[in-house]
Amino acid sequence: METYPTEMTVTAPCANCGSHVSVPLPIQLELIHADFIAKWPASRLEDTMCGSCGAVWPLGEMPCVYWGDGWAALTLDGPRTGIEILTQIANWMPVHRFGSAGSPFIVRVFDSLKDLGYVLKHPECSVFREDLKGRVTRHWDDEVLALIDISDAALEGRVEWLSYVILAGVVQDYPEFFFISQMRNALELTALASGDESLPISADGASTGLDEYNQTVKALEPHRPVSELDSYHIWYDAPLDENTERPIEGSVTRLIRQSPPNIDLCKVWLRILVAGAFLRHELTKRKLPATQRAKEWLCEEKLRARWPHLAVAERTKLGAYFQELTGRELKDVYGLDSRV
Amino acid sequence: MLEVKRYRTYLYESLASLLANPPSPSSAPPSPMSVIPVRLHLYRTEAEALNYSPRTALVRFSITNLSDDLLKLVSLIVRVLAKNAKRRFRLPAVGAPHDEYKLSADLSVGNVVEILDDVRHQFILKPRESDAFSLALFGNEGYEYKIIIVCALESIEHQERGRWTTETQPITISYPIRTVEGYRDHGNLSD
Repeated sequence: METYPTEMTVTAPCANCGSHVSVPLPIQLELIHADFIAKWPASRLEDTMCGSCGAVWPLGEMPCVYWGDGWAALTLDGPRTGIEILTQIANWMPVHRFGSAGSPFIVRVFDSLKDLGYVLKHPECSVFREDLKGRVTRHWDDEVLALIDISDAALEGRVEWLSYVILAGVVQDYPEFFFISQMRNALELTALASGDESLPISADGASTGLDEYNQTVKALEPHRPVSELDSYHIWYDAPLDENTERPIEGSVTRLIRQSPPNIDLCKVWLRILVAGAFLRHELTKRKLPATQRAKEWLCEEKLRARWPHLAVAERTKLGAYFQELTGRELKDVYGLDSRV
Repeated sequence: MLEVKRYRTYLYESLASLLANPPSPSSAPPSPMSVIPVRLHLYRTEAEALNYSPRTALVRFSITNLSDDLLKLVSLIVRVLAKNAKRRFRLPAVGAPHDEYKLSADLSVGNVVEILDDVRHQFILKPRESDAFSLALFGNEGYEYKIIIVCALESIEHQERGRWTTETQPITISYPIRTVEGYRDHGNLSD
């Protein structure tokens, strides 16, 4: 993990007037600065302006740490990935700076000092909030939603073991899914739901869902990123205009969402496709009505949209993966020929 | 204000005793009061907790004033008839409840809940009109509740006519387990 120095000062000439400026990294702001931040940049806030000419951000935008009442904040200095932001928090926002022992350590991450100022000025404004600890992986939002919906459809149809297997299969191929909190919670819940009977398709033929889940935890937990932040609640907050309920003017998201490569996306959608087919099969066996939640049409659409952007070698690899999952050829089922 | 509070306490007690010992229909004495000028209508008799808020279920109903008087809703009670553990799992979805639902009752704290205790405004029903209500009911994950809603009304102009009470048919509300915490808090999933 990259580390950021906990105490550092950056010294350089002001970009506007050239005079010598020293700025701490990160800029530390306390509760007594709240009114200044709320009015910033109209207010004079030390370290964000040149002492000689008054220019804002004389050395370029700097990250700021604000220690408020009941929560702390980090403002970004530019586009950052989730893991970079979490690493900054781990280095710059130690536990001892938070309130009384036992209270949660809440960190709110804002795109800019202006956004933080808006929230301090309008504490009741709505915010668009994301759990930043769920952002340590690549951007799998659509895939996680689809998987959880299919898994829930299996629970609705009382096929509890399948609800677990659908999620566990993806984690087996792509362990990073395990580090997405929504996915991990669903995996644990479906393992509990699948009960005491051994899974029909367990690796050793005798494991329950909970056995397999515990094995997964044992194998993957040591690799979980930024586990030192377990006691923190970290939210990426984008304030909304209190009048229009839309993002405040001029705000731009700085959280970099890393898209997985096309081949990985296709493989995961194939997995989802197979999960949907499995669900349809099990529901039919139980004489339950078919459900649109199996999402086979959506998976096919996703697959076809990405197919033209795959290299021949990737298509071949994908065909082999489909064969491994289903025993059939992509070409025969969907007319997708790796040579075309 | 104190009088209102006392009155409500009195009413609450009368209703609670009424609910504890409901008269059988055949033994009810015929009287002009037995013609209830109010209809309590349920939109659905089953509800499941919201997928994005595992402990919250929503019930919609309407109260129709069939009389020519202005009626005041003086009590609105949720009574839990039964609570059964249910081994039923679902996964939560992303979302947030709207603030639309001002009326609420927590089924996990008692079997008889007076909803109006926490409501600051009063409900007046105009003659020959219906009012629709949305009620948020909070329960425990892993349980199915059977409840009824009981309301009491009185005429504003003719208080001598007394109060009328009426109730819905039973409503089944299920709260599937959607969180690991809900599973751990449950402790009884044998059925």
